[in-house]
This record gives sequence, C-alpha cells and structure tokens, in this order.
Amino acid sequence: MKLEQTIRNTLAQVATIANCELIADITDDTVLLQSGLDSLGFAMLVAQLEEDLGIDPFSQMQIAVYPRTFAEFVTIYRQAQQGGNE
Amino acid sequence: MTAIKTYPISHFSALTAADLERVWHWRNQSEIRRNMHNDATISWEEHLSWFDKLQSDESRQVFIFKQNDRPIGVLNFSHRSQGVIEWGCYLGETDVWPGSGLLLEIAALDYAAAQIELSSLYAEVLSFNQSVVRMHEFFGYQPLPDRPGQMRNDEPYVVNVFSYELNEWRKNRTRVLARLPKQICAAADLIQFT
Repeated sequence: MKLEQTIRNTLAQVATIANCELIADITDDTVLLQSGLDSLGFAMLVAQLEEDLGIDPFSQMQIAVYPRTFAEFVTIYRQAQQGGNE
Repeated sequence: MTAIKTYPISHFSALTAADLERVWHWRNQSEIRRNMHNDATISWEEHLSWFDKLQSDESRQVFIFKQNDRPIGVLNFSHRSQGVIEWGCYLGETDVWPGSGLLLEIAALDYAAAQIELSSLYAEVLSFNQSVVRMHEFFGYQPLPDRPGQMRNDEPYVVNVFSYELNEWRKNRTRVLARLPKQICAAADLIQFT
C-alpha cells in the first residue's frame, strides 16, 4: 500500500508541475493514457520515481507488455522492488 | 552497482496493406477520433479507398510506429507548400512505454530535419487537445494564427496552428532533448526510419 501511495503522491506532484489536470478518481482500472497526465508527464513520473525509489523498471526490466492501467503500473514497480522480472 | 538499462527501439516503416486492418481499428477508436478534424467513424471501404489513393500520392507518407517490433501507432506527413510539410500522429495502443508520445514528437522533427530541402514543419491541433498543445510548446513550436474550428460535443473549438523552423531543430536538437527526462533522450537515440 505504501508503494501505491508513493506513486499516487508523485503522480499528483508531477501533474501539477506538468500543468496537467488529472481525472477526479484514479482507480486500479484507470487507463494511464486517459488519466489526464500527458506523455511528458509520464516521462517525468518515471524519472521522479527513479529518484525516489531508485528503480526505473521500464529501462531495468525486460517487460513484455507495458502497463495499460494504473494497477498494472503499480504492479510493475512492486515486481521491480521485489527484484522480479516477470 | 549500476543497473544495465535498455530502452525501446522505435522503428518507423511505411504503411503496408498488411497494416490496414490494425490501423482501421485504431483510427476508429473514440479516443483517437475525438482529436481528429474528421471525427466520424470510417468505413472499411473508405479506409481502403484512402490507402489506394495513398499509393499513388507522393506528397504523403504514412509510417507505422513499432516499439520493439510491436505496432503501436501512426506517424504521417503531407506536403503543404514549398519546403513545408505537415505532420500528425496517434498512438493506437494504450499499453506503451511511458513517454512514447514524446518519441513521436522527436521522430517527426528528426524525419523532417533530415530532408535538407525542407525548411519548416507544420502542425494543427484542435484547441481542446491540450496535452499536444503543451508538448508542441515545450519543444519550441512557434504559434501561428488560429484557424476557425467548429463544435465538438456541443463546445466550440478553434484549430491551433504551429510551425517549427527545421534549422532550429538541426542546431538545437541536443539542447532541447537535454530538457527532457534522461530516459527519453536515451530512447530518442533508438529512433529509426526505413
């Protein structure tokens, strides 16, 4: 839960910096590209999470399918923290 | 120990008949149509006719964007006037490497700038598509006067028009990319056209 909250907090911070308006309720099923964050915002989110968590799963893991939803995004970070590579 | 990092290969190749059904499905998604000048659903027959005309039209180029060999989007160019081409794009898939929209933006500038006879890249964005407007502004597109729009979902809009002087990109590409998150700069080195 702590990881998900970290991602949510960083998402909100990056949206403010990137001048993006996030949709009101980001749920597990929210499609990332429809969350209100734009492409630059997502790149900033990944870079900031690397600063905060020390990992960038999108460059450090062999990911067969990139995340489509918020839940999938969190899962990839969880797997990366656990040293997984699924 | 520093982790070894890898970034997606962005490969752009000319649209072929084999891509047509996939592109037709992408183009008819509501999230794609809503940002197009023509937001009507396109029939298969109309799509085939568009592709047929494209084959004999040297003023237009349409590329499939493949990310690590997986088709995820479209990048297109059309001749506008002497030394000027217009571009457009969309991501047809939603499970893509974070920052893929930026790679499309960089690829468009790289493709145009590589053609020495071109002087500027032209783009139109419907005014409610603010994420793309912001991205163009970030890269340094110059705004031109808006063109009149119509109504979309009962709301009026205008067409924001942008131009990029390609000599600026030729001179400043490295400086512009340095303002982006570093993983984007690394992935930009893996953009390929065939």
